[in-house]
Amino acid sequence: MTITEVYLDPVATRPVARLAALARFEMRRYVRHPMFPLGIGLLALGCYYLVLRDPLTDPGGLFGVPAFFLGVFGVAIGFRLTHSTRGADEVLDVAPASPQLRTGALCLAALVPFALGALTLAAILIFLRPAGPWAYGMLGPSDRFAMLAGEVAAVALGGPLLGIAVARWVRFAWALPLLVVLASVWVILVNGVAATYPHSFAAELLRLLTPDTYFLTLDQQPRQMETLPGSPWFFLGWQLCLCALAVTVALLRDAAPQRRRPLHVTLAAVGLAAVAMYLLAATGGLGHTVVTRPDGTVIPL
Amino acid sequence: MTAWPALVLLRAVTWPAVLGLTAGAALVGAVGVALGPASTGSAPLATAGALLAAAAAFTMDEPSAPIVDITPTSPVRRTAARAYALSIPILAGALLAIAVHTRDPALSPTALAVAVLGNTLLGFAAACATRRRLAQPGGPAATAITVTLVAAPLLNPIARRVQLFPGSPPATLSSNTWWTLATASSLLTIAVSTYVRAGKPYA
Repeated sequence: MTITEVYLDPVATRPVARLAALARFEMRRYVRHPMFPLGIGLLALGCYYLVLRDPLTDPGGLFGVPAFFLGVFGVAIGFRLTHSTRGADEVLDVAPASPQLRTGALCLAALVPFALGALTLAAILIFLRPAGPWAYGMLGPSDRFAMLAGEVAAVALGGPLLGIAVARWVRFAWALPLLVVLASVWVILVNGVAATYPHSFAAELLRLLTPDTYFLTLDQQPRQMETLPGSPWFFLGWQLCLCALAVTVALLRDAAPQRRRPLHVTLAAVGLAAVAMYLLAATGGLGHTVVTRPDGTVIPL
Repeated sequence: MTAWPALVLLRAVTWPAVLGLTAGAALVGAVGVALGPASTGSAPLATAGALLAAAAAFTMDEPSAPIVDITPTSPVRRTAARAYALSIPILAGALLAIAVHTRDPALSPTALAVAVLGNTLLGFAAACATRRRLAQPGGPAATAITVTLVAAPLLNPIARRVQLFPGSPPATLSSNTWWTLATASSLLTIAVSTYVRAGKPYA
């Protein structure tokens, strides 16, 4: 069955059933995209080296591997799946599925990488072999879970949603490489700036103004764990708000006039929640970077 | 027939894509230059190289392929004409290499030039190989090349063995060796895929 046939087939009269049918089809398209098995393969290779071959001794040692192979690959897949129906606009416009329904189905397809991210998170939690209590820095079990969930599962959900939202508004296919590079460079850059200026609150604010950051970093000489400022739970909230913003922005494209107002209200509400989460993430948790040594000594950096 | 037929053929190039991605590479490269020899500086430079590769990949897009492919102009001639468009990303890369060398004299300008040329030809080769099946290979080829070049440093087995850009942590295979090999392979791919297309009617 082709995508046009699915859209033209009035699968059910109820919108929820129609959305579910389209979402199943979009999930199949997501899984069949060549970058999806490639991303899984590279993620498995990365996890083999990071978690199994050289047992992961600190939760901060993921080096962005899950974030890249689930999140950044997801940006590319989401963008290309959204763009792939561009040539069929004239047919789709007369189909019983509205643009919002089709976009909603595409957004639901992001649950596939999210599920994979959740599995990866579970694998990391199971196979993590900490070098000692000091390897967790100042983070308790709850904060550790929030940090890893943000680094793995939330990024796996947010990547495809970002790709879909951008592709709904930007019609150029060449925007994708630019988006992939700018997103990657931004994350690398702000985390690098925060590492260079550990005592600067402005650098701290910048570090959290990303869809992905870390809260633990291992120094080798001397061997010690740095716990960075900020609240992992509120940062996870900020990431989920960004996901909701991406969905709302994607749905706004080509929305009928009567649907625009509720979408604008949702956008404003989610935007306010995102700002609140961001500020709470920046002001919550530790106020400054703290170093934990293998002997248990805790000192401010 | 004009004196410069290649320039006429260049009208079909997707210039917004080539110029947009080259401008993006210049922007990201400028950030890398501003950061200087700091450890974070090498990451933007390497990703700027990936964007130059993406810009090169879009030079082969041909929206009117069903018509163009049956004209008497051979694929070799058409590919040669498109290669002129590579001057834009190569020029931007050369300027970036000069800027990087001025900021950090420890980085050899030759090594930077080899890396820029290698990135650009890699993108062009990917597009030439994909052009056999797709009229507009820019999107898939640019995405594949960009994601690969940005992802490679994250994979320990690759990062330990290959230095993907001058200034990155040293590895078994230096940046010069790697990009020379990549350039040679790209030239071979361009030649083979173009001659294979030339041998097929309507290709």
